Amino acid sequence: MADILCGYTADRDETLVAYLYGDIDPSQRATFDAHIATCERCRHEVADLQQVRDQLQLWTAPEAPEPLTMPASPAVGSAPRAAIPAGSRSVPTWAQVAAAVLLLGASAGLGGAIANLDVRYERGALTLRTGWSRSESPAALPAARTAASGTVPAAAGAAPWQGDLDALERRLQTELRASPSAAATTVAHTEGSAPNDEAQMLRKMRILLQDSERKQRNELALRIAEVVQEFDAKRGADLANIRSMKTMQSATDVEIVRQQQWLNLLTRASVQSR
Amino acid sequence: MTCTDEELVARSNGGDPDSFNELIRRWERPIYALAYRQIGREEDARDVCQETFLRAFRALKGFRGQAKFSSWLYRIAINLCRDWMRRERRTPVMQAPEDVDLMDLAAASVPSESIEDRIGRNDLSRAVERAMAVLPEEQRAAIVLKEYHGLTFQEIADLVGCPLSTVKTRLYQGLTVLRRELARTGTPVKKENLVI
Repeated sequence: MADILCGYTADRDETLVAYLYGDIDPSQRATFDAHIATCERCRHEVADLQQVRDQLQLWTAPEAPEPLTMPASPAVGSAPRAAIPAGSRSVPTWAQVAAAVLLLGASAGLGGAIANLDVRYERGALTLRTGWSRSESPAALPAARTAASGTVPAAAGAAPWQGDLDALERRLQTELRASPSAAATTVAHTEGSAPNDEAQMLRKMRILLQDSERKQRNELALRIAEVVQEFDAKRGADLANIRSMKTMQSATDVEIVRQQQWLNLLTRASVQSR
Repeated sequence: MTCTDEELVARSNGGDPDSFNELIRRWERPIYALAYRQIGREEDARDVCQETFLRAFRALKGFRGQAKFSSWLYRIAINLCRDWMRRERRTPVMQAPEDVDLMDLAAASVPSESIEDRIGRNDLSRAVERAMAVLPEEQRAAIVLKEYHGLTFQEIADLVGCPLSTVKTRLYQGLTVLRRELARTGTPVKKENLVI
């Protein structure tokens, strides 16, 4: 296609973009209007770029999966915890972890409400295992919670971590009561808790886990597809290289044979000439 | 009566938490869309969106109204996207694999439409997404902010910290590359009018 010269003297590209988006002062617009009336290149380019803009509108972003909310009454100036999903409050991270441990420990203590969970306190460390395990004997459960003081000695025959869990639970409750949003429901009691609350908590946790697993599976599938695509592209390039090398190899072999024949000819000729 | 963003900011600074939640409701979708178009991954875009509002909340006291609240929010989001791309050191907008249906993976909910229309729309949307992935970060940011968020040239220049003429140049170059890419992939552009 023949190159069409444009006689616009000012900053053509910037003016064209400003004209395209209608973000241009009136005098400049009038000047450019007069220009494109006589300049085929600019006229076509404006039309084409407008078409690109129309196509860009076809690209829509997906909906955000869950709405964001901030805590009910965050302290001004303090770092808020993004409350996602609803129900999370401004609770310190350690308390949330402790609450999860309490919940899991309670479930294990009740005979493994969550599938085959084993929580043990061994050598000063809290260990969490999944998989088949012995069910806890009823005698291992504490007979009653002792609430006299902060430290609770483990009752005879009770799980060694029981006292620590109770102490953590009391500290968590104190923190939550001190927080303005006292409606947090992340604490599970080993005794006296409403079975419905615990079941609901377990349901919510399962849903969150399933959702997270689904998203991870999708992400993994996408990554695998990307790797496969890259691998295929690389393999195709390598095969093409090998084919071209084979062709070169064949040509080289032919040349070698030809050279050999010449040498043989020359050798016979020199022998005959003697 | 609808409050302005600046009024909601003032109320939030005064201790009213619902005001900031209202700001989130107004701007969550645009910020998420911006992050998604820059990064190309839903989960990471959501993280960026969340972090944007967290940072905005922490810095709300310092917002004096020198610029529009939305521009301030966009700047935080753009900077977070830039940080994410540098940290992750990967292609910022993912290339849609040939045999993976991104729409299914994204599980986007769409209004009911015919399968043919949906396939056609998905194909065009994917073609645009692939073409945008070719662009350098600065050009893509300029186009996203201009096309999808309606910012003026001056607002974009203030937001990304570059001269006004640079914004226009980036837009022109970005659109030109997109025209070439969309034509190359067969997305309808009048080829006889192409000026290389």
